[in-house]
Amino acid sequence: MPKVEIIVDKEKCYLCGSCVAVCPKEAIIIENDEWNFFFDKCISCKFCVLACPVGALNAEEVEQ
Amino acid sequence: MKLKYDVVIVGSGIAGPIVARNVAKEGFKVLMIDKKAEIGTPKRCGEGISIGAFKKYDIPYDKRFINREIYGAAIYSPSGYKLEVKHNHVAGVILERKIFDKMLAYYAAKAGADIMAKTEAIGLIREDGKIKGIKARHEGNSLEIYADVIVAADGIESRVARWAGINSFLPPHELDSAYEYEMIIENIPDPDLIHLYFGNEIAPRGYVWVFPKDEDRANVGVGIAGDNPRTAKYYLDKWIKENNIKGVKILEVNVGGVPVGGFLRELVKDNVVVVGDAARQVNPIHGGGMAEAMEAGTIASRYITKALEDENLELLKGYTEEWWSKDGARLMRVLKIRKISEKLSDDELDAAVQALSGADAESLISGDYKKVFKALIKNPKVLLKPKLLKLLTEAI
Ligand SMILES: Cc1cc2nc3c(=O)[nH]c(=O)nc-3n(C[C@H](O)[C@H](O)[C@H](O)COP(=O)(O)OP(=O)(O)OC[C@H]3O[C@@H](n4cnc5c(N)ncnc54)[C@H](O)[C@@H]3O)c2cc1C
Ligand code: SF4
Ligand code: SF4
Repeated sequence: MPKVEIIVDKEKCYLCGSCVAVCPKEAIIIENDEWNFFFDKCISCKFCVLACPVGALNAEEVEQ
Repeated sequence: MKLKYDVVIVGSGIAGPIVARNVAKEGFKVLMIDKKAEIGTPKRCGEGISIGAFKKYDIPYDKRFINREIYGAAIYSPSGYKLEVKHNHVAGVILERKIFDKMLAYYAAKAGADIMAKTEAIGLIREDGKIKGIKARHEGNSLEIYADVIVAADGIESRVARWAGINSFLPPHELDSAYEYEMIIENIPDPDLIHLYFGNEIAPRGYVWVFPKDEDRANVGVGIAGDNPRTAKYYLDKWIKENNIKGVKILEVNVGGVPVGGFLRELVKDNVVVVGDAARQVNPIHGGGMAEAMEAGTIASRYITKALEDENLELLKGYTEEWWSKDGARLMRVLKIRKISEKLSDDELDAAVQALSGADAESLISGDYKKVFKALIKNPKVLLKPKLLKLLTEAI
């Protein structure tokens, strides 16, 4: 599975926390009303992309 | 700044204030924090709750947070077969959660709890390998809140449980991805009922709901399986378009996730107690979690009080046992029913809705399936559907 970076479209994101709940690795954290992604923790499962109710997340493949 | 309490509660939604109120009432020092600047806002909820919850959990029936009294429900199958349950008494209400959550916090405050809005938990305080409290931030200032017991009532996105080492990761299939408009809708079929629309094309694994707050204003939303490649928003907009919904004016957009399965096995770890959505304590068929959060909060507060009185934190574990033997066992039965219903084709859903009575539907939603399934497998509509028949037979 290619490694991905999860990108948020801030204009779509409601900070609802669904992506945080389904992330097995705590690679997404919402704090201080900001959505944050931690590349090193991410295992590229894309659960977050599937779960987002509005489609605010995209997985972009990165060259290793 | 350093603070010291008997109990610190993270999250002032539904579960948090119940615990805060009940434990403060017993004379313990309680602090409840929430990251929201305005407790209750934004709402992420259809706001429906059954009438029994007020008495059961000792919540005043205050008109300030009751939008509309509801007398029952109408369930629609994919082809439009309708199953209606209408009582001659109020069965439930559509709340105004912005006010309800704030009032629950107010009741907790009146019972003696301290409350701090706009205060976000950002980590645990650990000393000598033990959890001693919560690190939090308020308007850029750091707070160290020391407490004997820490309550994670921080909802779907809960981080507190994970910090304590409880794995509260929710597989996407056990999440309902939800999208809702509070909107003007001129053609509500009957504004005294809630309306639920099922179907694999309408809402895969979930349903579309219309919860009236007025004759022409409702929470209209959809929940779908969290592993569905399409978004909840897609399904709601499609439903509104295809169903000729009249007068659409959008007053609010509410987005959220609902845990519909994957209840936490471990509800207590050391001195950390997990309640509500954070513990995934939600009805997996209809996605309602307010009453469940109140129930869990009520049980948890009893054990917290006991543990503090006896100065024995081991007693907290009684909450895990009691919850699992009561509400947990019930919700596992509900989950079993949902695991059957999510396998049904639209055709089979049509047959099931035609075969069910209103009383049957109420039994199923509360987790009582044996009698209903036994009657269903003799129903001619069901006998014509071999897969449905097999699933039901296997379950009894
Ligand atoms: C779209 C939608 C519709 C729903 N409809 C219904 C319905 O009609 N009926 C029903 O019964 N249930 C419904 N539910 C479920 C219901 O909303 C929840 O089950 C219920 O709110 C759970 O209560 P809680 O106290 O566990 O969590 P919440 O009510 O989510 O409260 C958690 C609180 O914790 C706070 N918090 C989180 N992290 C931190 C932190 N780090 N620091 C400080 N504070 C923090 C949050 O700000 C929040 O206020 C719905 C859910 C959704 C998403
Ligand atoms: S699930 Fe989507 S809307 Fe919700 S916080 Fe994550 S990115 Fe934002
Ligand atoms: S891809 Fe998987 S691991 Fe990475 S952020 Fe999304 S849910 Fe977390």
